[in-house]
Amino acid sequence: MKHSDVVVVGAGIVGASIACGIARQGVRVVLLDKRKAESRASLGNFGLVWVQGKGQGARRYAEWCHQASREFPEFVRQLLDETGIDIQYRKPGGLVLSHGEEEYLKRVTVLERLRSESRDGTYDCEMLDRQAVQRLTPKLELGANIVGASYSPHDGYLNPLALLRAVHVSFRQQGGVYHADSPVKRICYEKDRFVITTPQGQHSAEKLVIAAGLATESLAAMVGINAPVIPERGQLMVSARVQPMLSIPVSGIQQTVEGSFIVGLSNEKIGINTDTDSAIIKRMASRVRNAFPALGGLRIVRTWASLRVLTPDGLPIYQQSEACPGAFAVTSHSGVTLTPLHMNQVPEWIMKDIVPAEFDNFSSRRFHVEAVA
Amino acid sequence: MLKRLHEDRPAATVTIEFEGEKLKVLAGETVVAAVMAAGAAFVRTSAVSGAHRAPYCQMGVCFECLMEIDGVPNRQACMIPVRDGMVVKRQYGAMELDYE
Amino acid sequence: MSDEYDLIIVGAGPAGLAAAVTASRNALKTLLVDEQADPGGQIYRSIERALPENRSALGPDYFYGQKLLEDFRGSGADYLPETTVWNVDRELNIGLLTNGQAKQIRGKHILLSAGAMERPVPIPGWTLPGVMGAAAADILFKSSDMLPAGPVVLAGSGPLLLLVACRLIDNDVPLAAMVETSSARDYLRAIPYLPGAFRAYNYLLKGLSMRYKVLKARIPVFQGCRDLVVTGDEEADGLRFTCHGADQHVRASTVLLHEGVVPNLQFSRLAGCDHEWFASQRYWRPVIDKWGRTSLEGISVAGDASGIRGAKTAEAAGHLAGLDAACRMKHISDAERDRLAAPYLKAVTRERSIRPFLDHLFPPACQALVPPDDQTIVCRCEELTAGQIREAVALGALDPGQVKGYTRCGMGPCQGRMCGLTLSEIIASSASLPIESVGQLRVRAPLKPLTINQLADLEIFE
Repeated sequence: MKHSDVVVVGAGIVGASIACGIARQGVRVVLLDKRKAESRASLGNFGLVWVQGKGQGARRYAEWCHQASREFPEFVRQLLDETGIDIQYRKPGGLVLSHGEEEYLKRVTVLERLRSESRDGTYDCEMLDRQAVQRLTPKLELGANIVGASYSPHDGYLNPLALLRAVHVSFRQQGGVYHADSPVKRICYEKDRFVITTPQGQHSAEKLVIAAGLATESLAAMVGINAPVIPERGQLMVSARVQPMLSIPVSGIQQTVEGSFIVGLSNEKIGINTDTDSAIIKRMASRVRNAFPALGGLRIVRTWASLRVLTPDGLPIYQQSEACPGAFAVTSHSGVTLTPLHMNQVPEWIMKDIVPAEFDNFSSRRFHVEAVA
Repeated sequence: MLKRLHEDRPAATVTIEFEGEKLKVLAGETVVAAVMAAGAAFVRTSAVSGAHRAPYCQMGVCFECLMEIDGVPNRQACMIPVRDGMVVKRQYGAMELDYE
Repeated sequence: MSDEYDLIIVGAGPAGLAAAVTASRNALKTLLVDEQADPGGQIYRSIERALPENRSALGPDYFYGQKLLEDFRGSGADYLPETTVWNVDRELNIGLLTNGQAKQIRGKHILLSAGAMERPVPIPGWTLPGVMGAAAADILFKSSDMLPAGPVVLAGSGPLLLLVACRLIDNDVPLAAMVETSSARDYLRAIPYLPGAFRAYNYLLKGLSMRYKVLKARIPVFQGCRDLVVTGDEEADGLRFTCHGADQHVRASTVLLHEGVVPNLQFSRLAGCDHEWFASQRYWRPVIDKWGRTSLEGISVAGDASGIRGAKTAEAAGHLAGLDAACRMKHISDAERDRLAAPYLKAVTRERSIRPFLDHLFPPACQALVPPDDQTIVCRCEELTAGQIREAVALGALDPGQVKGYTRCGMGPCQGRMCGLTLSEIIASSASLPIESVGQLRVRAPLKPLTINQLADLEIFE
């Protein structure tokens, strides 16, 4: 049996950043992970650090994401200092294109709603007309159908694979211990300690954090937390490298620092299924071409599908167990965007009980079915 | 790099252009074989480091033979037979998309 | 071209051609697709336009394929050359690209007979211009009537090494040396497998006569060689190696490397068929029954794509797959199929009997499997080294997909074809895990690049 202060289960970007943040406090952390990378959302995603449009009807979530975006540059600097790894973070702002008048008006409505729901009646995201959008993408002419876009200066992108690697390197540098081949089979709570059983042996710790993506629900249930998660498939495509043409992420289309274009424009509730669907890929390609006709010549070298980890209302869960205090469940589908908060505020909550105001809205109690008396 | 084994065999002559130069090649040859027979030591430069690259497998597996053929970049030149009037260029680094 | 075929065959080598012949003979509506402009695969490459001047050099084993080609041309099967198959899935959808147009059609049965590829040989300097696979030289000979101008150094192990050596000698290409990584010890290890091999006598004689040709041409031959390094700055200028402790360097402008042949698994992996590890030659192959049926209903594999067994076995396997498809479509009964299959089953057993001997005679060299030098490039496309991969494993990445995420290995144009095997071997070695449990990179569509325009204009036939 291996003893430590904290065990974190799940080493995707959410689990790894929480583990890293806790380790930075000088605490002994063990990070447990299954071996197969197959369904890891952190390996299949788009790499957006994205704020605009999030949190409609959920002001706290909009604020939580904005805070993350504000703290991102400092987080990136610290990670670079510690590990020497450049995660290619860029913050040029972000665009959501309107294909036609109807989409434009719909987007106006979204922004108005977010404005009215905000604390001070402002929402830093504006609608641009076609000319203004074209000025932001000077090397790529907009398709005829594009009438405008919403633009937020708070949006950006990075290399999500480099991010995951950098967080793991930082974790190891802080003295964290990572077990890469240790899927968790059972969790018991006895005498104020958690005993976690894996095929490779047992771990015990005072605190336990479950941030295991789609496995969070079943693991959290073992410590009395109800954390419902639903897989939502997103399909993506990546192209061969191209000379630089696009320096701002545009609704599901971005050009990486290496030069490849990545496209990610779909969502399907289809269970645990990471197959790609040619009809959907075709629709995505069509949309890309409508946005920028010159991208018709992009050579797509790979398509794939990844599973977003969603809760029933799309908002995160940050929940401490009542039955087993010291056990925490965390899940959020904005795993990349929220990384700075998962490195700082969330470890503070876990280790020092400093609860962010937003967490009222992120309790898993909101999913409890009222018992009929 | 490569030599033709029967230079004077009866075969249709095909004229292609390689890096601006006109080449007389034989029908049935692949594009990459034809340019290597004309003395090209490398057919592209790496998009990662700029290093010179030349074909390894000659059968469409290694993707080292990527060249620009008739204006289309990143084509596997070992898989394409020469055709009269073809314009062949080395692929220098990452491809370009035509600005609209 | 109709959109509902009984049988769609991918690959026009001996297995695919034979399957097309037999399937058509049994009234299956059959489509054969192939990437090349001419049928024949690699072994019978360009056979329909083989030069009379090369007749004796190409030899009887090559022209044996002529009858098969003629039978195919007369079979009535539909044929789509210069067609790239970019997708195959378990629902038997198949994505095709012909003349720049992409479509997706469905078959009632799919046969994957895409043959084999040379095992990549990652040694220091292997990405320099002037380094090719040995089979690449043979392909140039057959398809373009060309060979390296020379001087050439041939290095590695396997029957193909000798074959290419003779090819070069016959065509007066200066062959500076043969540098063999196999040794006398391998001969001894392989001897026990000889008695069980039918026609082993023929193989041995052929091998010996090729060795004699090399001897007569006074080519320096080194055996049991290790630590191969291609030398040169911007292009290859020779090969350095050690032989029985002594350092050697042979100057050459072309270095031909070969460490055996491995199945082309792009299609069977993409579709999701089960695969198993074949330890003696260190590659994965699809799990199939004697008809070539895979773990997926309606998908079969025949020929070298199911495991390296040579052209004659491939042809027999193609006939068997064709018969099985005909039976599955109820064009012939089980009993009919079994009756017609008997001679092909016998041929497969016969031809396969030489394999254990050959497999043990030519195991792939350790250096080619797990490059010991950290500086050796493993992923040619992204220029990643063995050291970088080992670093990722040390960070806890034990799964090829995770190592790929950390390093970009497998993300370039070839999508893991040249680095995939090496990647799995390095993970298994560094993490002390059985390679079967490490697994392979996931293969995804499109198998070859498609443009956004082609995808946006994709014609899908349900």
